[in-house]
Amino acid sequence: MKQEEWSQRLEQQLSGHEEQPSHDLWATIETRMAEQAATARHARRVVLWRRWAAVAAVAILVLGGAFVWERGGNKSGEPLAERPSAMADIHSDEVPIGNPPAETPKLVTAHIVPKAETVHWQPTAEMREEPVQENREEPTATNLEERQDTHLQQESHKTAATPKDASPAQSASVTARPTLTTRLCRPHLTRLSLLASAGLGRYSNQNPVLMSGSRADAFAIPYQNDALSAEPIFLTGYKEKQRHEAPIEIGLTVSRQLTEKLSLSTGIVYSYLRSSFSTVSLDLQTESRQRLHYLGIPLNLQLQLWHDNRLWVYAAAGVRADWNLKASLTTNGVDQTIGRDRWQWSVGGSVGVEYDFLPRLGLYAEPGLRYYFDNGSNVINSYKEHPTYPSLQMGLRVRM
Amino acid sequence: METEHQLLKALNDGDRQAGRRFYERFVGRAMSIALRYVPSREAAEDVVQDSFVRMLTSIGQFQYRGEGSLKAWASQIVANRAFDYVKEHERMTTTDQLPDLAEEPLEEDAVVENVPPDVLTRMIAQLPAGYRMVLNLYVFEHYSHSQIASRLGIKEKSSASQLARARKMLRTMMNEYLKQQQST
Repeated sequence: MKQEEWSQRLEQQLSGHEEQPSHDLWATIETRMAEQAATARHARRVVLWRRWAAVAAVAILVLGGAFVWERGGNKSGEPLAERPSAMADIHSDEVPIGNPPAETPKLVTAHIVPKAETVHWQPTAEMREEPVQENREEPTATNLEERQDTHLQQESHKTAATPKDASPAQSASVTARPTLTTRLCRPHLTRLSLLASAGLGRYSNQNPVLMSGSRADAFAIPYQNDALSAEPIFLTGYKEKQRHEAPIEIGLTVSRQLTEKLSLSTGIVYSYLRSSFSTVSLDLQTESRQRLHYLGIPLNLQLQLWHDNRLWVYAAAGVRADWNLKASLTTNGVDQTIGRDRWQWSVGGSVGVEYDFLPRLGLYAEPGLRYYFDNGSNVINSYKEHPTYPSLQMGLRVRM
Repeated sequence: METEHQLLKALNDGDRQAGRRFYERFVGRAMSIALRYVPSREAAEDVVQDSFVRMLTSIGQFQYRGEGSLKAWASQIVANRAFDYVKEHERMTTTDQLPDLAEEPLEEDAVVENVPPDVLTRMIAQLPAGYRMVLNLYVFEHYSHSQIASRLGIKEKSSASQLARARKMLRTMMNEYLKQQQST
């Protein structure tokens, strides 16, 4: 029989067929119609909230990145010797021979003069002397001697870190430069991290397909024992198997120090999920491979637990929202079209260890656990099949 | 029994009882369509409920084209909703790698008509999701293979292969059923 004729016969056999539901559905239909208007309003509010949340997350990233970029080009606390304006004033050829800057010890000894009129840098409290005066008094023998004594006393209080061979012009700036030890222990306000992470372990599942025993007679399956009619029947001619690889993640985060031990971080993380599905039906076997690509925005709090010179130990916890960037499915080598997953929310906690092998650059390892909430979609992936995943995150961290 | 036109007019006039009458008139047909797509009766009832909500909230947009057009419109809505349900809740696998199957022998003519409609409906529901969808779209919705390929996101050749395999699997089920009936 040809395909068309068979199709017509099949359609004809079911053309006037009707079946009744197990119970009256009208009451439920009426209730749902009455609730539909209120549900539509609520759905609009939820959609708006999600959009604003996405906008806020992007804004945090942009502002955080702008802040980090701005701080990177306008650092405070730099050694004064690197400030060109201070150097220009001290070494200016236009400074009269009789009026060199008062902070220069040799010149103070040789030439007792009033303070220089042009001072552009802000000295620290140790270095601060009398404020610059617009109207200088004419030098007299009495006040010149007093000033000399004052200057000599202040010079004796300069820190021992001043190198002996430092030039006079550099002496003031060298005293402001922090030591290597103080620089390592000072909490840096902003840190940039490049990370890579992998879940530990993969997950496999093989499901037999079940059918209710009470329907055995509809399929000519001999099932004589009525007491077992409620037991499920395994359809031996049909099997399903699925396998999910552990997620792989890479990302870039920026963290900002809130208090001495607490910091907040956010950034962007790319996740890659691979799954394979096999079905065997009678004499047919099909193999499907699924690839899911997510882009996530994490928000974490880090608490410093302990540190010793170059070694840091901390704990971290936070949430992450992942957006399914792309979904692809290939069945026996043929590309199929599938819809994207919904937003995926997760929470995680970890303990990390960081070692700074350079003053501002460190390597860190962060083992932890992450739990993925069921987002209600029908995309089958490792997040749904195995919602709690141990992971190991490693990366580089730059202190800025 | 009132005509479709009279029922439609009552619905558009806001007659609350007309909604109940509309439901009682088409629920049987709606269930039979849903059960062809969705294996679970409970899920099929959900599909039917959802379909009736959609029909009654959009009845004002329906254009009457003669007796039978309301039934056809309602059937199409149920079929569409059942299709969406299967797409959302089941994974469909298709293949283009296996060759097309040869035509079936003549004795199959007797097989289809000897199987009761309710049993035949359940057999169709037990097919793998991909086969089931192609079969329903081709046989009952009169889609061409190119239209099926477009709707399911598969190749046209794959649609034809799926239909052939569905037919083969259905024939096996029907033969087993008839043998069982003959032995009892």
